Amino acid sequence: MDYLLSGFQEAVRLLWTGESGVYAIVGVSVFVAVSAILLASVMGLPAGYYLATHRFRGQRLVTTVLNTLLAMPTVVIGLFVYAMISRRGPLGFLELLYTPKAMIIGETILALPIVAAFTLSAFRAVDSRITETALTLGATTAQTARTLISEARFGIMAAVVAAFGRVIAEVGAAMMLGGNIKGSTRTMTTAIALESSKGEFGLAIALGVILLLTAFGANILFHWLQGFDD
Amino acid sequence: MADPIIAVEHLTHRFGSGFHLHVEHLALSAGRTYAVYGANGSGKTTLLNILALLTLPQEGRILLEGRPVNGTDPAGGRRYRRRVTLLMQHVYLFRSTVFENVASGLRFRGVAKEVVEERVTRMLEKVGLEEFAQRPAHSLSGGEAQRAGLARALVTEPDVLLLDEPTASVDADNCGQIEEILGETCKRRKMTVVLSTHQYDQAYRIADEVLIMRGGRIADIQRRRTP
Repeated sequence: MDYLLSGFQEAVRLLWTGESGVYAIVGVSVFVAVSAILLASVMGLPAGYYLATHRFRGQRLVTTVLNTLLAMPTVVIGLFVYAMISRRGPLGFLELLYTPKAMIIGETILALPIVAAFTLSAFRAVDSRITETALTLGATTAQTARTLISEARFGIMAAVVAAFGRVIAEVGAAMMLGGNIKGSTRTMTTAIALESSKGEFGLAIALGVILLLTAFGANILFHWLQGFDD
Repeated sequence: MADPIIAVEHLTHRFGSGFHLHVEHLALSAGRTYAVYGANGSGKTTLLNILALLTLPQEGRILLEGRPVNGTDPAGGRRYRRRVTLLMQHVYLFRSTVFENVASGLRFRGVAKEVVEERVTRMLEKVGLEEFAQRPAHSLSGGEAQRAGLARALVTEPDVLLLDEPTASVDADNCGQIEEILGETCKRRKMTVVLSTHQYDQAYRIADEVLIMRGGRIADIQRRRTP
């Protein structure tokens, strides 16, 4: 038990002093996660809106695929992107492997179905009278869409927060695509994996505490936003 | 005789369950109040939804001031709805303040901010909700919400106001207030009002003409007897 106790003591010291690049690692994690969430939101929010408000052939299949992708293992995403961007892959000439950009691509693929599926649910959960009410008040098609988005705003924000929580805590794709390079692609999760395998619990625990607080904060925000829809 | 403000010709709308609405001819004159009276399921709501272009009729046509309305054209539909407004039976208030709810129709029309401020404030006073202006709309009681919905419809000053059972789920006090506001505002503005109700006394109390609906058809039109 001594090594765990000294690990905790070391974690407190590292968090206080910021040694061993603790906050640089946190910075890489946040940068990758925020970039991926922004990209996933740009694509996922309109996709969720379209699926909720339009009827088309094959819609049920698209929705089923989207829901299936929610449970896609992150290492599979890592494998898929790795195959595409590795030197022998079709996109190898872009030289993206082991860069933050590669991690952002992987995390975006992970976040996209979450944002789209939760946005779809958010629009489906809002009152069906919203569109009719806006129309009876003389709204244009664009004004009706804006009203619907405004009414579903807490559900949409919850979708983004949920995706952020998933991405920031992800390790498989980040490790495969980033390579865990210190000062460049080392994130909180990949650093924890590396440090624990070395038996260096101080840094691992320090990062674990920050990661836990971040994920906890995202979940609190998620439930708080969902509360507005009750 | 002048064209009616709204006319309906050879209108038919079928539902899967077998019910179908059929109105051969209906003409609504400007400035008059009509009550659509009938039991539940007689077709009152369907008729009002069609008149509001929320439901497009499968056959027949609607004319506004003698001109056919193209409900499938978004711009044409919008122009029509800016003159013909429906207050649904179960009013939906947006997730914002009472003031913003009442202002929404004016904002959709791009009315200037100062004009919106002035007209909404006046309308909230009229419906007795001036003290609730900055409250979240979802905190209103059923009767207050119904009055806020009425204010939201009236403030846009439509030519035709359609009301689907506006007093069906409110208490006697709110019912009296709603009837009073309707009577006062609509008569003064020469607004055409079409109100559906299943209350016989209400239909004859407030309407100039009562359209009696049975089984999806207008079975009779009765003019109010002058006392």
